[in-house]
Amino acid sequence: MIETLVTYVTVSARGKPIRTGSRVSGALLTVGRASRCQIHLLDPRVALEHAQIAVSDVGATISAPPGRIRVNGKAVDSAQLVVGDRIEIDPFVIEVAPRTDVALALAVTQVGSTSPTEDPLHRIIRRQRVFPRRRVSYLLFFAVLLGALAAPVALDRLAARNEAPFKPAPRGASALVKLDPMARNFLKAWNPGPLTQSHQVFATDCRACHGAPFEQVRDQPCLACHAMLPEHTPRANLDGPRGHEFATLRCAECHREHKGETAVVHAQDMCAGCHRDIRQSSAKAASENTGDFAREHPPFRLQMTDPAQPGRVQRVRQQAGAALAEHSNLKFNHKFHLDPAGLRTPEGRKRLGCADCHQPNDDGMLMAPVSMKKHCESCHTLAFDPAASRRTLPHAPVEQVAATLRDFYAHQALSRPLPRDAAAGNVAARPGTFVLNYQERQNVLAAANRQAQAVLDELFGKREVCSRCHEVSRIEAEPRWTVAPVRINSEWLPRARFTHARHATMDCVSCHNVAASTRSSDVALPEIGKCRECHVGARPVLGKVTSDCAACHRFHAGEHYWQDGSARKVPGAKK
Amino acid sequence: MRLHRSILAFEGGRYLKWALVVCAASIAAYAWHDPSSVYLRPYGGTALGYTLGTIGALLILWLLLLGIRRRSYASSLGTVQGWTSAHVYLGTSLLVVVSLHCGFEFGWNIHTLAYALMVAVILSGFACLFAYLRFPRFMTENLGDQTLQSLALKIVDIDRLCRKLSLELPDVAATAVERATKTRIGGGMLRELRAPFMPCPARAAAVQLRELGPTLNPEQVQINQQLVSELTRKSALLDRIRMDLRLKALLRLWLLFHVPLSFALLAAVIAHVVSVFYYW
Repeated sequence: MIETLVTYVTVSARGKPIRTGSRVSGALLTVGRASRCQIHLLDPRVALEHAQIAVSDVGATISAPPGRIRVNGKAVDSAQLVVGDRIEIDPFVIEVAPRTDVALALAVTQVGSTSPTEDPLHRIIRRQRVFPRRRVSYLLFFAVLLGALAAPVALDRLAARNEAPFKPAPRGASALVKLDPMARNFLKAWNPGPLTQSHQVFATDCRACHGAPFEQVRDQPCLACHAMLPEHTPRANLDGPRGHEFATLRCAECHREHKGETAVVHAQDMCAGCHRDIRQSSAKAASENTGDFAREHPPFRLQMTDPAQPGRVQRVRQQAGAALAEHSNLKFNHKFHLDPAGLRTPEGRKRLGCADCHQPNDDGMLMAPVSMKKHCESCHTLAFDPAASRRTLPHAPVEQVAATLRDFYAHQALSRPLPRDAAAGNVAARPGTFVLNYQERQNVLAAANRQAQAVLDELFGKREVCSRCHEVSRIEAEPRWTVAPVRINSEWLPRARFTHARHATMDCVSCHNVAASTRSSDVALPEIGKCRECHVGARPVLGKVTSDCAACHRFHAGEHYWQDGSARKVPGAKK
Repeated sequence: MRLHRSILAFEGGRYLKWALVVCAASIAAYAWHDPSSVYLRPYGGTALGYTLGTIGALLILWLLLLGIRRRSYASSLGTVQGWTSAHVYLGTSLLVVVSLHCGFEFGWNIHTLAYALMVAVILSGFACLFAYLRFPRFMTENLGDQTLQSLALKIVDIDRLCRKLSLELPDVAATAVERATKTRIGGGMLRELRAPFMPCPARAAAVQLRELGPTLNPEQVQINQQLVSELTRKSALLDRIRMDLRLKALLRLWLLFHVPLSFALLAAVIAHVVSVFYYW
C-alpha cells in the first residue's frame, strides 16, 4: 500500500503555525478544490481538480494542464518531485518534505490572502445599472391605454355632451372646438377600414353614425339622409312565423361599413335567408321560393296583358315547352320582315335586320318603342288617293283619319274648276268672287263626304291599309270603323334589371329567336335556361359569369318608403 | 434521470401537439367557414372572427400569467418548466390564430397596432428561446470549473504581484502596469454586450512592456518578462469574465423587449376590444 503524508500548515490567530497531518493512500492523488480530492485546497482560485500526483515507491511526479502550476518558480506541465521542491498553486505552496515511513510527504501552506476584505469582483466588474423593466412595462401599458382607449373615449364623451341639447356647454367647450381636429385624429386610430366613397364625407366624425356607446348602429342616422329610400316589402306582408326577423333587420346588417371604398352589397345568403322559404316570412307571398340562380331560381314570370281584363297586366310564369301568347292587337310577321332575300321597298330591295327597328333606350336597358313614323312608314305609306300620291293620312285615331279625308275631299270638290257652260251662264262672275248658293254648297259637301267615307272603307277594308297591322272592326256609329287598342309590351321582366347594353356583344337571335315567328302573339323572350348558358349563381364557375341576386334584382324596389311605409311619389308613375 | 431536458421536449413535446391542434383547428375552421356575403371577405366581426378573437385574447392573458407563475414558488399548478414549454408553443400558435381572426386585414389603426405588438412580442420571445437554448452551454464552456469569484481572486493576486514587480522597472513600465491593474469591466447593458470587443488595458500594457525590452538591463529584462507573462495571463482571465458578462447580458437582453412589449400588447388588446364594441 502506497501512502502519502499530507500536512496542512495554517496560522493561528496569534500567528503561530498549526500543523494538521493526514495520511492518504493510493498511487494517484488529485489536488484540487473538490472535496473528493485527496489533497484538498479549499480556495476558489484552485480548480476543482487542479493537478495530479502519481506516487510510487521510487518517486513521485506531478502533472497538470498547462499554466496551472509552478514548481520552484517555473511554470511547468509536469515535474519529478524531489525533497525540497516547492509546488505553487495560488494561493497555496506545497513543499516536498523529507519522508519517513511513507512514499511521499507534502506540507501544504497557504501563502496568499485567504478572505479579501472587499469582494474582488467589485474591483473588476462595475456595478450593474439595472434597466427599469417593470417601470418601463407599466409606462408602456398606460401610455398605450391612454392614447388608444382613454383619450378617444374621453373626446367622444365630450363631443356627446356638447351635442346634447338644453345642457350648458362644459367648461372649455370652446377649447374642444379647437381640439376637434386632434380629437378626430385620435378617433381615426380606431377606424378599422376605409368608408365607402359616398360616406367619406363624414371622414372621422364617428358620431355621424355611431350613437350611444356599446350600441350597434341604428337605422335613424341612415334614414336621416336616405329619407327617400324605398322599402323592400310592406311591413304588413311580413305575417309569416319568421316575419319579425326581417322586420327588425337593421340597415347595417346588409350595408357593412369600413370594408373598402365600393359599397357593393352582395348579400345572396341574406336574400336567400328569407326567400328559400318565403312563406315563413310572408304567408301570402306571390313569389316562389328561390335561392342561388344556378340551381334554385324558378322560371321567369313575364308581365303580360291580361286577356280577360284588357288594359291590365298579369305576370305569367314561363314553363318549359308551353308557349305563351301575347295579346297586343297588332299583326306582325317577323319571318316575313327578316326574309334573307330582302323586302321590296320604295328604295328597292332591302334586307332588314333587328336593329332597323329595335334600338335600345337612352339608358341602354330596355328597347325603345318601335314607332310607325320612324320604322314602318317608309314602306307602309299612308297615301290614300292615287291622284295625290304625296298626301298621306295621319297615323292617328280613326276620327282624325276620317276628318282628314273629309277635309281633303271637300277641299278637292270645292276647288274644282267650274264646267265651261256653267261659267258662261254666270254673268256676274269676276275672278275670285264666284259664289255658290246654299243648296249647291250642301250638294258638293255631301258628295265629298261620301267619297271620304268610301275611301275610309277601302282603307280599312278591301285595301287593308290599316288592317294590315291593326285589328279593325266595323261599327254602327260614325266613323263606322274602330281599331283595337295596341298594347305592345315594353317591360317583360319589371322585377329584374336586365341591360341590353351590357349584352351588346351577343347576337339578338341568340336570345330572341324570331326567325320562324309568323304571328305577333309569339313570345320571343328567352327562358331561364338560356341565361344559365352563361350565368351561374354566387359560386364562381370557370368560364361562367358569377351572378348573385343583386346582379339582376334590387332590394330597395318596393312601392313604399322604408322610413314610414308611406306610398312612394314616383315622378311619372301610373296612377 | 437526465440532468437537463430542453423545454421544447417537455413531456415528449406535449404542448407542441396542443399548439398544432389549435393551429390546425383554426385553419380548418377558417377554410370551412363561409362568412355571410355581406362581409365581402373574412374579418374579425364574423362568428368565426369573434371565436378566434376570443381564443386569441384568452391565450394572451394566459401567456402573461407565466410572469406570475414563475415567481410563485409555492404553487403546485404544474411545473414552471411545463408552463414555459406551453408558453413557447401556444404563444407561437397565436400567430396563426390571430392572423386568421383578422382575416389578414391590416391598416393604420390600433387594431393593427395590437397585431404588430403581438408579432413583436412573439419575435422577441423567439430571440429569448434561442438565447436560452444556446448560451448556457457557452457560459459553461467559457468558465470551465472556475467561477467569476475565483477568476477575480486570481486577478487580484496577479495585480498584487505585478505591482510588486513593476517597482523594479522604469516609471514608464510602472505607469502602464498601474493602468492595467485598474481595469474594470461592464457597467451598463451595452458595455456588458460590447465587453469582449473593448480594448484590454492589460493586453495593451503587455505590448508596451515587450517593446520596452531593449532599453533594460539584464536583471530588469527578466522581471519584465515575468511581468509580461503575468499581464498576458490576466488579460486571458479578463477575456473570460468579459465573455461571461456578454453572455449573461444576451440572456437578459430579450426580456428588455419581451416584457415591456407584452404589457403594451395587453393595453392594445384592451383598447382593441373596447373600441370595437364601443362603436359597434
